[in-house]
Amino acid sequence: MACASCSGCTDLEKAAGESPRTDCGDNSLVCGTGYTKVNGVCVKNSDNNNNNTLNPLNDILANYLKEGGTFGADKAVQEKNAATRLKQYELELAKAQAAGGGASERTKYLLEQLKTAGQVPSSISKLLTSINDTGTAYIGDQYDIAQKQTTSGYDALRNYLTNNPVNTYSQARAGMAPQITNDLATYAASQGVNSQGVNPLINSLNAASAGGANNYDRLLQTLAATQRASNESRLAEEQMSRTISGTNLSQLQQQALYQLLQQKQKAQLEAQQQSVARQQALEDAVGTLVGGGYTTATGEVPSWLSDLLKVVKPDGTNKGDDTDKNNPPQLTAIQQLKAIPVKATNTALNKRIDNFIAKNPNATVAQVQKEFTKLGKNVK
Amino acid sequence: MAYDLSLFEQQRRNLSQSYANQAALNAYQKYLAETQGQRPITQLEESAFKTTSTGGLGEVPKLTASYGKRGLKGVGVRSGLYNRALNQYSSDRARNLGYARMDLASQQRGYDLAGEQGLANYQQGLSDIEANKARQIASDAQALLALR
Repeated sequence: MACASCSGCTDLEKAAGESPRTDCGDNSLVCGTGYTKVNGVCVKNSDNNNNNTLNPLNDILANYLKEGGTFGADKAVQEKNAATRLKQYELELAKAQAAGGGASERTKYLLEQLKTAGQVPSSISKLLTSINDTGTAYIGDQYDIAQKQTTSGYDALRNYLTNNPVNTYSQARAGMAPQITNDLATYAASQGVNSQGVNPLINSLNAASAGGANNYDRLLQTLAATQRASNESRLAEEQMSRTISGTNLSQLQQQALYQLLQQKQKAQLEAQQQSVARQQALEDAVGTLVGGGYTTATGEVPSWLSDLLKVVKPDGTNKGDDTDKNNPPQLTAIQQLKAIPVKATNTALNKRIDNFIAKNPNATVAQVQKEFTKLGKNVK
Repeated sequence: MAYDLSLFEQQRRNLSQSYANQAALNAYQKYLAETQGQRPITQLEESAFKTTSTGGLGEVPKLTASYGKRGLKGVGVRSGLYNRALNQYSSDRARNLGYARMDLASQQRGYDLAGEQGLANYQQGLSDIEANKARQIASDAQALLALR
């Protein structure tokens, strides 16, 4: 009698895929072929399992059953223990499934993240560009202000120098030459004295007086010329200073822009380094998941396993027939064909299988064996 | 760091004050020199005919009178000695007056030149202040740009 139809079977026993009891009313359990009695529950043997992929789950179940004690003679205690174990089993089963499925999902997520990893996020790039633009505009504004200030200062200087040339010597009063005369000539004539002899002296004195005045005037002219040259020099000096200041401002602007560029490049480099580090971390995480066997590299559950899980319980028994615990689940010929491992590199064979399945979704065992001579031996 | 115009105004005030002091001192010295220089000229000019403070004759009338007493000067008398004496006096007078006037003129030109030099220095100083101000503005602009 099968447990499914036997009132003496507990839920745990059903869930565990227990083999049928010989007598539901008797606590002495006799397990079928390929099953081992573990603390009153039949657990499928690993070495006699048609689907090795699910063995770990049976092992887990077996461990829990071992740790959970035995079914007592008292039916109430037995059911209580069984209910506890069932919950433990369901929890562990969920965990085991989550470990596989979760890892797969996580791998998918990580692979998705890897697509954009190693690149600076556009938001950061935009931010850096914005900061650079703002900085450039600010430096430009500061340069304009400084340039206007400088131009204003030198314009004021030029106006002053133009309107207030130093020209004191050119406007200075010319030297006055005192005139010396023979003011006694009239008197001498009135006395009948000829005073012509004094005239040479008078002329000599006037020449000396005029010479002194001329020398003074020439000195003023020389000094005035020096002042004019000085005025020209000042204007040239103003122009030079204006030019140099403009050059200095341009240089400072270039320095500021260069520093800004350096900062931007440094920030870009740091962002790039972080992105690369993130990429490496993602690759390490994927490597851990794949290398640890939690999932395949693609992060997807193989189709053959998905198909298998549709009809088979974790313990390897057929979902649709709990009563047939001793027999492996009966798969269709196509399902068996899909379950046969084929190297991914053998694209020709994979393509051939896909085409056959597409054309013959309900192919019989004979058709499969006919189409695939070698692989068909595994289809029964 | 930003320029302060008051600093330059202070310099300008100091410069103006210094120039004003120098110009005033120069003008006063010129006035004193003119007064001192004019005094011997006036004395020379007046000494020829002006009577002395004691009522004596001027130098020229005195000279003529002295030659007249000796019969060397008078109507119809043509004395070479008187002629030479009068011409010598005229020459000495003209020379002394000429030297005195030229000395005074030279001295006055010296004060004029000093005044012009003071004014030139003052104007140069003002130009220097304006140039320094412009440089300071430019320097501050550069500093502001460097500070950012």
